[in-house]
Amino acid sequence: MSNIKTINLQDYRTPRSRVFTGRDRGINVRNASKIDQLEAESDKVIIKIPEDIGSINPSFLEEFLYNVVNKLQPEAFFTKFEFENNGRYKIDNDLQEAVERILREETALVH
Amino acid sequence: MILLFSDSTYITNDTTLTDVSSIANIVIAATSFGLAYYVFVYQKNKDKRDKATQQQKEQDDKLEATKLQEQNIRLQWFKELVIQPHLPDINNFYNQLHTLENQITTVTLSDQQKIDLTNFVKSELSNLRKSFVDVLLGVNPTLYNEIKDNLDALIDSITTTIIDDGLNLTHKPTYEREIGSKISYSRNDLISKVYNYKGTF
Repeated sequence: MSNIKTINLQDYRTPRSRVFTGRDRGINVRNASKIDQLEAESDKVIIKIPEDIGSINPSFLEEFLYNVVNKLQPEAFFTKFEFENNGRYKIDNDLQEAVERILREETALVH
Repeated sequence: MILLFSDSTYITNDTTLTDVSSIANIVIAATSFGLAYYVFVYQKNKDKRDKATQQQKEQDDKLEATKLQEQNIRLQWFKELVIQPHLPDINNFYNQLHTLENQITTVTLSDQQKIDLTNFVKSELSNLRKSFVDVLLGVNPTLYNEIKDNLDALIDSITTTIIDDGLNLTHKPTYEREIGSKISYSRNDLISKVYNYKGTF
C-alpha cells in the first residue's frame, strides 16, 4: 500500500474566514503544514479543502506550493497531489494559475 | 663658535659681520632654492594629480553619458514594446473590475454568486498577467514584483470583501469604499510605478 499523507486546510484557516489569500499567509501555511517534508516522505499527498471555503487565491497558492511544484514539475505534481474539494468552490482554475506563475518565475530566474 | 658683539662692528674670533652676512645670504639662497624646488615639485605633482583627476572625471562623464544613453534606449523600448501595446489590456482589466458594481444586484449574495464574482475578478487578473505582467519579468524583476503585489493585493481585497465581509455592496457608498476606491487606487499606483520606471535594472 502506498504511503499517503494528508493536509487539512481547516487546520490553517483564519477563524471566521472563508478565504485563503496572500503570499505571506501562503508561506506561513507552507511552513506550518510542512508540505515540503510531507511530499518528500510520501507517495501521495491529499490536500483537504473545507467545504465552506469560498476562495483560495493564486497569491496564497503560489507560495504554499512553490517548492513542491518546482521540485516535481507540473505533471508529477498533479499526479502526486490530490485536492479533496467537496464544496461549491472549485480550486482547479486557481491552482492552474498558481502553477503557471511558479513555473513562469522559475524559468525567468534560471535564464 | 662664540660670537661677541661690541660697539664696533667687529666680532671676536676673527669673524666679521660681512662673513655673517655672507653666511646668511648663503642660507637664505639655499632656503629659497629649496623652497623653489619644493614648490616646483609640489606644483608638478599637483598638475599630475589634477590631470589624472580630470581624466578620471572625463572617463566617468563618458561612462555616465553611455549609461544614460543605454537607459534612454531601454526606456524607449520599454515604452514602445511593453507599455503602449498593453495599455488597452491594462485599461480593459480595470474597466472590467468596475463592472462589478453592476454585477452585484442583490443585497444578500448567495455563496454561488460570491464564488462566481470572485472567479470573474481572478480570471481578469489571470488575463492581465499573461498579456502584460509576465512581460515585465523579463524587463525588470523589481517592477514585476511591485506590479504583481499591487494587483494581487487588489484581487485579494475584493475576494475577502465579497466572500467574508457580508456587506451590502448594492449600497453605492459601501461599494465605493470597499471596492470602487481600491480599484482606482490600484490603477493610480500601477500607472505611477510604470511612469516612474527609469529604465534601470
